[in-house]
Amino acid sequence: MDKQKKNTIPTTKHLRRYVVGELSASEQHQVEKSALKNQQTDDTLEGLQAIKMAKIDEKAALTELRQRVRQRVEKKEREWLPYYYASAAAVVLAVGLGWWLVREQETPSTVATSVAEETMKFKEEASPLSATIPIPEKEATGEATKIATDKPKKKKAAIAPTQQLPLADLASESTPKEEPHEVLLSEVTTAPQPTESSAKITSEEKTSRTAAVKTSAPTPTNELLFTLHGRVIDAINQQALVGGTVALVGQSRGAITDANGNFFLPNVRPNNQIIISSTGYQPAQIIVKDSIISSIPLYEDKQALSEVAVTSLPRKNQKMSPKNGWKAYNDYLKTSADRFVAQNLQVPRGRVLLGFTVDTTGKPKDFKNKNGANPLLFEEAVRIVKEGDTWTIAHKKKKPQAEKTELAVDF
Amino acid sequence: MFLKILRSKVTLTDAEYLAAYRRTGDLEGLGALYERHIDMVFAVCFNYLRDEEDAKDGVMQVFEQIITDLKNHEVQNFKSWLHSVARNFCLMQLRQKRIMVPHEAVFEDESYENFVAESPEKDGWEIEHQLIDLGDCMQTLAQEQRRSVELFYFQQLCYQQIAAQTGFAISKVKSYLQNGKRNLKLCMEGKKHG
Repeated sequence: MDKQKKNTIPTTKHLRRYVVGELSASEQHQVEKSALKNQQTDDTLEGLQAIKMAKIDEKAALTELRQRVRQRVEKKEREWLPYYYASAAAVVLAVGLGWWLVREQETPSTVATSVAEETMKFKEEASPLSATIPIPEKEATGEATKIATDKPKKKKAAIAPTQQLPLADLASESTPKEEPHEVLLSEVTTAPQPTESSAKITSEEKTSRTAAVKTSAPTPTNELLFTLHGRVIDAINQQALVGGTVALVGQSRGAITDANGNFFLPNVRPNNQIIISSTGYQPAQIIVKDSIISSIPLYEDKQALSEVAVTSLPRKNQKMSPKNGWKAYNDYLKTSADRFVAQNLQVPRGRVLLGFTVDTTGKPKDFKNKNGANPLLFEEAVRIVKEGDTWTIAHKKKKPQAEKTELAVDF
Repeated sequence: MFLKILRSKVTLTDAEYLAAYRRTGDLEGLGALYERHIDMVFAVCFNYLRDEEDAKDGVMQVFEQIITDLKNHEVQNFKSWLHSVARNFCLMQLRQKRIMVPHEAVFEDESYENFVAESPEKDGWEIEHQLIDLGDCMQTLAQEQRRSVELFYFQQLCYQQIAAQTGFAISKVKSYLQNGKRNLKLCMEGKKHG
């Protein structure tokens, strides 16, 4: 009996030795006794014996299982790791890309970055227009402005006579002139300087220039994002068009003109196409070259007006609705339900989820008790809906479509 | 990461692993603990499912189960708890497949943990105080059962030796013992309650 107290559950290793037949008779007896007493030992022992009988390579199986457990344990870890790595990679990528862009913008003569940084502030004060110009350009412009401050007059003078030329040409023409004198200055200023001057031109010639002419404004060399700003007007009376839409072709983005016909469309790339439209006007399509475009004139179009009216109707009514609108219908439902409750105080209250079909004449039919509500309530809900408004229903290819719907009636 | 590696070098007890898991939810530690007993789980699963792949899948599913269960349960004896989890899992599997579980495999109603906890002292207590009853009860057993019980418990022979002496098949010896033991227990309890 003393032995029994000592008896602990044999280890699996010990059991395995039993199965292989390495144990002495008394050791075997101990194992057997333990197995008789202890389900765990018994199961393990029987299992080991069965594994041996089935000639299964237990070692290989266990190695595989250990591996699977480790994989399972790691899997959770991996869910974390990519998160960190991805964000780190994104940061590195962003920095790298920014650096590359700056490098692209800079010339081989290497503008000192410290100078560029310093001049950032300067530029922001100097030209509010630069808000819409991407950073590298901004830096470069700042650089230019600072260096150019001692002789701004000279440059403007150089530009002024050529104002009537397309601005891109202007830029390329002005470049060689400057280059011999000051390599640094000229290289940096080629891109931004026209932008600045173009802004001036825009304000000066706002009324006379058209969008088409404007598209010949200088093209930024890189695929950069900027905010497009413009104004939409009626071509005949020059009035601002309010609520006109400006849509980016190929993207589901756009802007709407404000009370003065102005719009701002962020994240536009050069050479993006925009379509400007307003109800009752012929839409206009423009290829974006610069962040600012002059007033876009739209011509009135009666045909377009009627077309818009036709196509928009079914879209509006795609979801069926009560003839007199939802508000009136909901009021009707509520008063009817309240009246019923007031008259039938003994009936339990609740919500009826009513499923029904609206036929082509707008009448509801085929009622179903969707939420298994009290039959009395359901009956009343059917009566209320039947006596209520008829329904305006969807049209597909100008044919009325019977439609199934659900309605909740609260009692 | 380094800490984890260092920590896993030190051999922790089951309870330490469990405490760590409940504290941190760190799967690596639980995986290490599970690997420690994986051979037992595999053997148990194979015992019930009798198919290598089924048993392997069972081992992995039992692991999934303890990942969630251990978050809520406080487990004293991990190995025996793990066994009952594995066993219950297998029995569920068999039930789903509508395979009849062989009689031997069906465990008596009392919960396993109770059984483990109570049996040692109960055995000692009972046998010491009811040796006379035992003698009577032994006579009520079927002959094969009585012989097996005598040889096994009184002479402390192993199955092989009993089989050799009596000519019973080894597997039979075991079932004689199991049934004999159960009958004895019933008999003794009957005596105790009058």
